Order: sequence, then C-alpha cells, then structure tokens
Amino acid sequence: MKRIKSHLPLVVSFAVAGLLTASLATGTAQSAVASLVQIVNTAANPVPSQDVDNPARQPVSFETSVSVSANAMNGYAFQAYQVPAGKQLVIDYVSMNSEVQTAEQVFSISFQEEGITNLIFVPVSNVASFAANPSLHGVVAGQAVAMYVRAGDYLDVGVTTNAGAPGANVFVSWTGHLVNLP
Amino acid sequence: MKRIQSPLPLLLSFALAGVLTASLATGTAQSAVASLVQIVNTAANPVPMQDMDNPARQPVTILTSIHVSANAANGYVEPAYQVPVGKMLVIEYIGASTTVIAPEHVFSVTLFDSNNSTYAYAPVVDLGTDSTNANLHAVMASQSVAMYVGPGDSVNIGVQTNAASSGVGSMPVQVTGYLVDLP
Repeated sequence: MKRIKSHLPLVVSFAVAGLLTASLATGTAQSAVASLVQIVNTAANPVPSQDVDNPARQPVSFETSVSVSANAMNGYAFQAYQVPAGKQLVIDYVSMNSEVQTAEQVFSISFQEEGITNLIFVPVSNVASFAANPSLHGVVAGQAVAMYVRAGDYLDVGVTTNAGAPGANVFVSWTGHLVNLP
Repeated sequence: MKRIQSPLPLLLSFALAGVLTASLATGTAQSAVASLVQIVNTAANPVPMQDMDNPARQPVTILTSIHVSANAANGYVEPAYQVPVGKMLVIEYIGASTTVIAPEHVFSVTLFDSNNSTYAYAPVVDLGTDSTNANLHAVMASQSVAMYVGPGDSVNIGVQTNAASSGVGSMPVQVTGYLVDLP
C-alpha cells in the first residue's frame, strides 16, 4: 500500500508533462519548417493569377485649366493633384484640345513633380483655323507617356507658348493609376 | 489496499488519454491555420501562370460613325458604349479615318465618360488631298491611349472640327480596350 501510494504523484506528474510536451513541441515544429512543394501545373492547366496592381484597380483622371497671360511664355496650374499617402502615381496618357487666337502658338504641355526634376513635355500641334473665325485656331495634343510621381508629392501642369499677345486658356487632361506602396 | 489499487488503472488511463487528446487536438488546430510551403520550381521549370485580367480575356471593340453638321464645331455619339456592372473598362486605342471636303478640318477625336470626369483627346492628322479631287482630303487618327471608365458609366465619342460649311458626312471611329472584373 505504501509503495503504491508513493508512486501516485509520479504518475500524475508524467501525465501533466506529457500534455505540455505534446502541445509545445508541435507548436515549435510549425513555426520553423516550411514544406517544399513543386507546382506541377502545365501550360494547358496554368495557375490562375491576378495582378493586384492592374491599372484598372485604382484609375485616376484629371482635367485642369491652364491660363497663359498675354505676352507670357508659360502658364501653370501648380499643385493640380496630390498623390495620396502610401501610393505611387503612374501617368499613362496626357492630352489637350483647345482653341487660341492666331497670334498665340502653343508649343507644349508639361507635367512636373513639384520640387524635383521629374518632368515630361508633350508637343502640341497647331491644326487649322476656324472657318467662321480665322483668327481662332485649334491646338491638339495626345501622347501615351510613362511618368511616376511619389506618394504625397504634388503634380504641376504647365503650358509653353510663343509669348503671343493674346495669351491662352487651355484644358489639359491626363489619365493614370495608383499603385499601393509596401 | 483494495481501495487504493482500483483508482490506479483509472489514473493511468486518464494520463494516456490526455497525451493522445493533446496531440490529436493540436493536429486539428494545425489544419485550421495555413501551412507554410516553399515553391521549389526552378528557372528551367517555371510555374505556368495565367493572368485573369489579361486584356485578351474580355476585349471590347466600339465601332461607331460620327456625323458633324455643316458649320458645327462638334459631332457626338452619346452613349457609344455602356460599361457592364461590376467591370472597369480600360481603353487602349483610338483610331479614325475618313475624307472630308475643304475647307473642313478635323482637329481631334474625344472620348469622355458620362460623368464628364474623364477626357482623352486623340489628335487627327491631315494626310493630304485626293489626286483627282483637290477639295477632298484624307484625315486620320491612330493613337495609343489609357482611359478608365467605371462600372455602369457610358463612353461618349466626339469629333471636333473647324466648323466649316462642308461638315463631316461620316467619320468611322474605332475604340479598343478590355474589361477587368472588379472585386
């Protein structure tokens, strides 16, 4: 009786130790090792994937008016757009369609990331005069581009002209998309 | 002695059951969380992938013809296309070609959405006059673009001219792009 009595705590201790060891050991193995797998899909049965940065997921578009004063060579729309925090802006396409007085020639439109030398220019074509008002002529631009603007930064839009007496007021459009940064 | 002997097998059974239950229960928990795997495909044996948003999966072609009246500066087709619910339309290209009678000049083809929030202009180039009829000249646009139109919104297409007396009888415009499923 005494012999059995003395073994009882030992048996209970082993049971408790067993329980603890089983749970702790399995937890350790889980966090340390990754199983090696080989994807055996073929070209006829490929793995479906989806690009989370596809431009269609976070499209952005903007149209801004830029005024060029009489006899001035340039006009700007400063801080026309601010890139949201945590995102990168990718500009895909810029264009404009406007009409100006004949003495005014529009040379280009420009996009600049404010404060740094990240700048693109797009040429503007002078098309033809209006039939009923020959002193007015159309100016057009359209260009696929690639420009990247950092999170939080501002985009300035500019117009360059021949500094004619009439000045100009043009509408500039751009489309692009945002990409989430890590 | 009898009284103490009888609980002993019972205690041992409980201990054994405890160990078994612990390991089995942990196994169940393991299968509920994600297992870690490492893909070991090599450059010689890459994983074949298929982009579900590949433009070729849901292509869209909008073909329309735009008329500009005599002395009018614009002509429009509104709407030219409506984006299905749950999709985003990505427009990649604008093309247009026709002949017009002098003194008519075509400036541009314009795409804009029904919210008037997105515009894309494609310049039109004057290619020259017809050798048999100097009043007739060819105009064309061929432009890669990027424009995004949201679910349920419409795409409108316009043509801008110098508002001459000839007008534009019919200017075929083709817009191509693709749809992407939205979550």
